[in-house]
Amino acid sequence: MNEIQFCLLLAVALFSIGIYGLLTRRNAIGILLSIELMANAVNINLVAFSRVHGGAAGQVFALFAIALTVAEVAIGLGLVILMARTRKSINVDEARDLHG
Amino acid sequence: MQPLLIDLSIAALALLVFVADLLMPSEEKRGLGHLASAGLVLILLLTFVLDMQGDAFGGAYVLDPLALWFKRVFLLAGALAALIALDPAEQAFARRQGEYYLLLLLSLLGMSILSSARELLLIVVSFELMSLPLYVLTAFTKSSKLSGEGALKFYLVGATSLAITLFGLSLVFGATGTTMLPEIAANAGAIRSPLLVLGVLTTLAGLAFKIGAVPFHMWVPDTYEGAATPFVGFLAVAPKAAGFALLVRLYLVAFAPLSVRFQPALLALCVLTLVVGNVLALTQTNIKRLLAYSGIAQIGYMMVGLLAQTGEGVGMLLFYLAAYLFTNVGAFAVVCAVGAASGSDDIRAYRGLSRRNPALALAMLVFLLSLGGIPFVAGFWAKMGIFIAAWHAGLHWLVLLGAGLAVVGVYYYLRIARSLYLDDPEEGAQPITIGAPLRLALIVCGTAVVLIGIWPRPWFDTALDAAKSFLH
Amino acid sequence: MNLHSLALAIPLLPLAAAAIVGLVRPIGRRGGLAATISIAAAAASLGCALLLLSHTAERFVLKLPWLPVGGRTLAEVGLRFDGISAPMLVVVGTVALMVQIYSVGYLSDEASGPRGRYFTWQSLFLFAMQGFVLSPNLLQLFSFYELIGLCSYLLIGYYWEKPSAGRAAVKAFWITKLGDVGFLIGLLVCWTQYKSFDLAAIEHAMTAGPAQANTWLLPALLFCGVASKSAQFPLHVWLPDAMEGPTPVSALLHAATMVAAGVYLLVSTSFLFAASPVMGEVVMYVGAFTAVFAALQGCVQNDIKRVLAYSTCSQLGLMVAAIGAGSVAAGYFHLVTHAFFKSLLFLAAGSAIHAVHTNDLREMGGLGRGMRWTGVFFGVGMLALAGIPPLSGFFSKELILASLEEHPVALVLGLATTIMTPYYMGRAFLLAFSGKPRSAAAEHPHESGWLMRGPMLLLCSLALIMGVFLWSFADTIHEPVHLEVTSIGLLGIALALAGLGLAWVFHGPRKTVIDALPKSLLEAARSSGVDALYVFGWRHVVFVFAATVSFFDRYIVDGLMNLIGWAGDRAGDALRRVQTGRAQDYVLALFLGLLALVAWGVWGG
Repeated sequence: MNEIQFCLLLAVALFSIGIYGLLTRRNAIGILLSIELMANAVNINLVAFSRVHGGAAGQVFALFAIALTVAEVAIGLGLVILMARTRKSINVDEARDLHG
Repeated sequence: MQPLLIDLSIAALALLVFVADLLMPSEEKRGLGHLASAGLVLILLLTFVLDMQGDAFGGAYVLDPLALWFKRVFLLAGALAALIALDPAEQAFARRQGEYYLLLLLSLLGMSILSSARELLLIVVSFELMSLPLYVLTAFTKSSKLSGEGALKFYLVGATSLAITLFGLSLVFGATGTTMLPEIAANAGAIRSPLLVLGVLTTLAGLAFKIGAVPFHMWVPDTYEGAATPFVGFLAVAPKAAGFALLVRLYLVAFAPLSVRFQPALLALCVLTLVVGNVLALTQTNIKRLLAYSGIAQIGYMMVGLLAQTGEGVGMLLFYLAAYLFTNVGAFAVVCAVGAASGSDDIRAYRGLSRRNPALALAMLVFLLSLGGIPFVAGFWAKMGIFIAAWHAGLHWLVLLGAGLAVVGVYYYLRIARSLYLDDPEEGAQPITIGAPLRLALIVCGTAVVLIGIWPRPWFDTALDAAKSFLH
Repeated sequence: MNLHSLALAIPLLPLAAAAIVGLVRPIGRRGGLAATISIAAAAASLGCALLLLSHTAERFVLKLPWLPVGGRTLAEVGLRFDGISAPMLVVVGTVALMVQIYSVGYLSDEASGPRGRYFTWQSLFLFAMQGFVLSPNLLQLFSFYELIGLCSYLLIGYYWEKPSAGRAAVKAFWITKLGDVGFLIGLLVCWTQYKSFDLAAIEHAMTAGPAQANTWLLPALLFCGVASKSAQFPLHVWLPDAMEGPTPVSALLHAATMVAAGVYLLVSTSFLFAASPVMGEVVMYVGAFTAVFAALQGCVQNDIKRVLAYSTCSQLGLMVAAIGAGSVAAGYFHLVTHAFFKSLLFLAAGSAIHAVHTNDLREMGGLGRGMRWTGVFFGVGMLALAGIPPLSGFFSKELILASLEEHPVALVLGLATTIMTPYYMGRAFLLAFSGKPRSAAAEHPHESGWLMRGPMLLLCSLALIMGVFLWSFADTIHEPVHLEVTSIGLLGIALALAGLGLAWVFHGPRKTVIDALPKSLLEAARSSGVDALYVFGWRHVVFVFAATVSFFDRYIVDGLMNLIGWAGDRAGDALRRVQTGRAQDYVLALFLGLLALVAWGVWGG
């Protein structure tokens, strides 16, 4: 098994753990963490490919992706705080007034 | 510099609104809405006056007729959204009005850049610039439980699909070793790596979320129902158009050599979207949910244009987007007026609207007919054009399916139309009065829908030209 | 004023009236003013049509590119004034004008606001109908076809306080829309085959160009549109239900115009059907079957408007059959005569309904005494419909029977219709206008005012003399028409008289023929069993058959249409359950979608 395959496997594993957490956690913070895991799997991919192809494109991409994820999680936390205020809970299962 | 002018103007307008928001006393902040919408109209006019085509940043950014068409759609949608929001924003969140328009403009900037982007990193950044303000805008009515819930669902599904898109794009980068779309297009045919196929399909799943294709659609009705109505009209049109801009650039150009691989998947998505959207709209009782599901069905029709994979198909898709813009923004403007007057989004609130405000009822009728694809309004030509393009591309049975499902669509649209004219208003219903900005928006949308319906020629010409310059 | 602007004025005048009445609220609110404007526009439009008709020698087509696609003009918008459109313009204009005048009297009890709306839609409908008649290409025909459907939707639903009217309106719209899907696909096929929507260009391409592979496909698809609008089996189910609308609307839409639009489309595209013998036969048999099927049901209806509705269905079937058999002139001429006498019948029925406030024949009776005029009008309409010479219906019916001469099965069906038509019409006439009043309201009916009688009088005289115009009609459409008295023609007359006789026998003032016969003859008949056979035959075979057909129609064909709607609703409900409201279920759907997509892309494609 060469280097790049190992990296890809790691990324896929991380991505899958993220998916698992996303589907099973009920706590909104836990879900945000899972999304973060998925995003970081992408970063591993990008850095690994950057090493394969040479050049800085992949690394720059990864840096941008990290910044974007941070912005995204910040907004996510804002929404969680909003939920805590209006529903007194951050269990996502309780937010199901909209359906059908 | 020249090709960037539109996006720079939008950015400057956003900054202007931001600074003015800090300086203005809170009782005068309504002026920011005027500023935003007038500014957008001005930029829109600019796109007609100046010839700015060309590229920048070594080809990463391009302003071609295709991008220009999308930018005009975004600018119009933004201007109309700001106009419709003027009165409700002042009532619901007078102190935070500035933020509302700022976020709207920033999202618009993201879309606008996205429609010009020809490089993966630029695509991702502008995609996020578009999406993040939308989450906040959905949750903008902070006191409402539903608004927060809608935003949370939108966010969770959106963030997940962004991760999926990024994962897909990272695989595409890994397989091709470049982030420039023209280079990907040139290399994609020769690369036999399974990573590329996997990346292309994964990215498709992420983008399907953005346009709300089934089964990635489930956030749509909940988010529409939860979000403030003046914003939903924008949400239902502009981001979807941006999604299509990206789909066209990625799947009809960059990944075109792989079309054997993704075409069946796209076809399956399209059929599901058409069927599920139309069937689910049948039994809805909330007008916003009904329009959400019917909007999903409309997206299905646009995907038919994409599936044709021809210049004609893309041209018809562009035309469809323009018709859909006026129709849907107009329909949500009516929902906004009725919702404000009766405090309800239930279809029952539309009973006998013709006696509470005949002009409003007439406008709604025009929009419903357009959504249903009845002749002499814009929607008819939109559907007709898509069908013709798909028929030429040999997608005969898809056209049959689409035309059959259009009848289902007419059924649920006319259910509302009947209520407007033929039912009696509910007990104690008062005549509805609407403010000047909303009236202006309704007049613009209604006139455009009827004009395109009667004389579609210039629109078809421009749309097909834009597509022709782009696909042989 | 030149001819072109005259032709342009025919559809545009009613459109202007619709815009004024519909958009200028002070006018729309005052029913009387709205009616005046609408009627004035209709009259002016009819005037233009008549002026043009006096110039029939001059045929012209105006065209303007409407929709260019890929360097070529995909669609044009224009006007076609020729032998085909000229008679129809006058027919539509006349009936519409008469119906609008009649409506003023008929709706005088209604509130003012709704009346304004009613006349808006009347004018809009007239615009759509005249625009349809003048269309030179298929796309424009289709566009106006849809607009006609929409106006009919609004007009049928006029009585919004009646939920059944609302339901009927929706049903009418979406069943006709269903047929329009066929029409729409037909447009696409047409474009692929002939690269044009223009009727003249298609006809030219067919004769001059290379032979097409599937000549049956395009006419088959177009016939879907024809069948739904002109109420051919099995898409006819909306027509009886549409009787919930105001009676003048039925007179306009369901006698002379909207339902005629399908047949007119058939006439305009008859060259396509002529090119495909298979489709010609299909059209003929569908028409002939519809004629008998609907006539049978007409025999057992108790609602006077439903009798007329089924009768319309049946007569449209005859027209379709004649055109299918290749005789366009016969079908078209019947369309013209039928428009006049059927709208007369509807208006007369409306007058009776206006007097007794019920549609039910069982609650009428003896109206002829108080309403002599109405009785005479209905009687004339009946005789014309029955095809008694020398009324107009006779000429067109003879032509139709003659056109079916070479097709034995269709001819038998046509002849069967010929005997049933006078029977059910006679039955309706006798039940409504003769005998004793069977309800309090029918005791002292009041004759309608002149606003209602005037239009009926004009239509009545047209129904009487329209046959004379057969030869000038033949000149107009440039097709030779032969009317000679053949054995089939004589048989037709005999059957018509027999039908009327049967109606008299069973529903005449003396209950049955048995009372009328001399006692001795009666005894003889009874002993020989002829009488029993006779009564048994009519009472137990024909009626049971008709009732069965009616049942089949109501619960099976209609039920099937309703089932489609029901299935849609159930599917919607089932799918709604998937939308649970749990955010994580949505994310799960996202991942499942992703997996399916990747799997489909990697292994499926």
